[in-house]
Amino acid sequence: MADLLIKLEQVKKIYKTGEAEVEVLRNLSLTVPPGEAVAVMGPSGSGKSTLLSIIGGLNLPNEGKVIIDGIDLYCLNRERRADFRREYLGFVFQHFQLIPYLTAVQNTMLPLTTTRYPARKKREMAMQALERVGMERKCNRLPNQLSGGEQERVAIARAIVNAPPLMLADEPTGNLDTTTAQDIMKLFSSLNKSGLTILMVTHNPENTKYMKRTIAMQDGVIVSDTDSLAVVAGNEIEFRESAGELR
Amino acid sequence: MSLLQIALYNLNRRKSKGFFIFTSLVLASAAVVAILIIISTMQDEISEQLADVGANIVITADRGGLTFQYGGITIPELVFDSVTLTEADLDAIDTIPDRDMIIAVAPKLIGTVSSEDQTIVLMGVDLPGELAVKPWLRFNDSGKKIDKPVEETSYDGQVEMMEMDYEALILDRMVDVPVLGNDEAIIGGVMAEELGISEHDSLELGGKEYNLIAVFEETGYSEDSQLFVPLGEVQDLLDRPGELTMIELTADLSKIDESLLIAQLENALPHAKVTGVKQAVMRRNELLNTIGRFGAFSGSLIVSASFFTALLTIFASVKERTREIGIFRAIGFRAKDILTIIIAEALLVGFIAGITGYHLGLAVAHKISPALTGIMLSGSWEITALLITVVLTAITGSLAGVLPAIKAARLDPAEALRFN
Repeated sequence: MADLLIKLEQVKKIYKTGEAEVEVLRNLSLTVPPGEAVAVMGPSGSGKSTLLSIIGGLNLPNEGKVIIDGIDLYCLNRERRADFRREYLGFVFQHFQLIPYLTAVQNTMLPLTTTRYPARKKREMAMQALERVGMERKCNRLPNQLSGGEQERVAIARAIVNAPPLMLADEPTGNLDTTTAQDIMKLFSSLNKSGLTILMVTHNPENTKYMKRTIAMQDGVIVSDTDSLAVVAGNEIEFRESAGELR
Repeated sequence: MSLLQIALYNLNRRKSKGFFIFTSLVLASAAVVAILIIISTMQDEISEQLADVGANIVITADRGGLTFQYGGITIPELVFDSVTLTEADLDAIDTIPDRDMIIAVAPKLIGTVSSEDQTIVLMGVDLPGELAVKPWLRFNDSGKKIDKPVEETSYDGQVEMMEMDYEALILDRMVDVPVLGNDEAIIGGVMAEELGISEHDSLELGGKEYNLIAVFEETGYSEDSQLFVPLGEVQDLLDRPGELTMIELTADLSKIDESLLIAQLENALPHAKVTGVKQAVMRRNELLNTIGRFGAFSGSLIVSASFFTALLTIFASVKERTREIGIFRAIGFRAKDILTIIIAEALLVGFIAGITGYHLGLAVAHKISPALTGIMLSGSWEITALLITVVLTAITGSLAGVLPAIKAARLDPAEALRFN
């Protein structure tokens, strides 16, 4: 594995809406070493979700380089980027994004669908991932038979089933109550301790205490990049006020 | 978990859309199967009838010189009055390998005699054979049976074939085939009118009285102006014992290639000229082709309608699943994987629709064919036809899925994930 798992150099992203152009990311640079757990905070429109989708190979930047584990992501074509996502990334989407007609274990197996593993091995891997998130007993339930927290756990199991080095999460607790959100964040922390690098977009400053590092974004630039403990301890008053305002 | 399983699970979830595509494909395949079965049966029926209608091979003496036309065939010997065909040639015909394909043989001697200052064209014929190769010949007042015994047999199979011709061509009317006695004749309608004679009158030819047992209805052909007398009588009258001017044959050309049969006849009769009546064959083929083209046109219209119904339904389904496709792409599915899922769904529906459509079409064809065409279908369940139907329906279904699948595969995953 490279010294830096994520390396962004002068990344610029512009969205065009009719005649208007909105610069969502402005020459943004960022490095994340392996094993890091990074929370990205910021108000709506600050560019945090765009940042996540660019790191995830889903959104082509207008300028700059995105290097993940030594691979220049946007030198790859669309299909190779899909392969890259399957092998290197786990996604936890906002609103869980489970496939409604597939059971928990089938949803978990999805990233393995196009791999060469035999069917039994795929199921075995999915069950192991579900065990890690505490969902093995409800593996045969459909998403609509699960609570929000349970669906989130299945979404996390799907993200880690192929043992990727990096997990990207977009507002993973946005639709959960406080207690469930804390459980999910504890799970994230536990996964990070086991070696998984996590980059999480969140609106909730409480979630940052489970991350090692917190980045604040505004208008497409990083306005703050600090140790999360400092944020939680209140030593970075300016940052907290900023985050609170931005919420 | 495989792509095929995902397709199956999705079909199971979206039953109404799947059923809609299924129904349109079933109706299309059933309609096409029914049309093709009915047309195919009609073609077989027409082919069988046309194969039985009239002579389709004419054997004449292979001579040059002046000629005249008889029924579209060149007859050379009448002018020279020199005949090289004999009754022995009939035996030679019986020796060809595919003799079974010849369903009627009509030998004849053509000549002229004078009667009461009139020149009469004489046709020395074997009546059952003549009627078999000219089924359009009808007796005037045909409802009335001729009080004559039915000939047992003349040449192998001829009487049997006569019954078939009459059934097919004179519909339900049953007509017995009379034996023409040595002092009897049948006269063409135009000649009877010109001579002012009719049935039961008599006519003197070469000093012998011949009773007219029937008058043929006018047909517009040369037979209208001919007098039909037993072959042996004409040979005596013309002093040409055993000789023949020509031999007309009716063969079942639906079962044997005409050129092959002609080759066999030429081999058996090296001194004769064997001619296929290609015009009749061409007309028959044209008729069959027209029917076939109509079937193909109707079928393609139905299939097109079904194709577009399936296409629009799959497009709607893909739009509904935009976010789902975005998830697939985000977690590493390739564009071809998305294509595979959507086309597999269409293919599966098409496969089942093909099986159902074939059986439905078969049932419908058997049910409606007698009412539409008056023909009872003889066709039954065939594995080859089933397989063809299933393959074509599945291809139609999957083709309908191609465009929506390409659209789905091209979806930007980031955009798709934001889709509501």
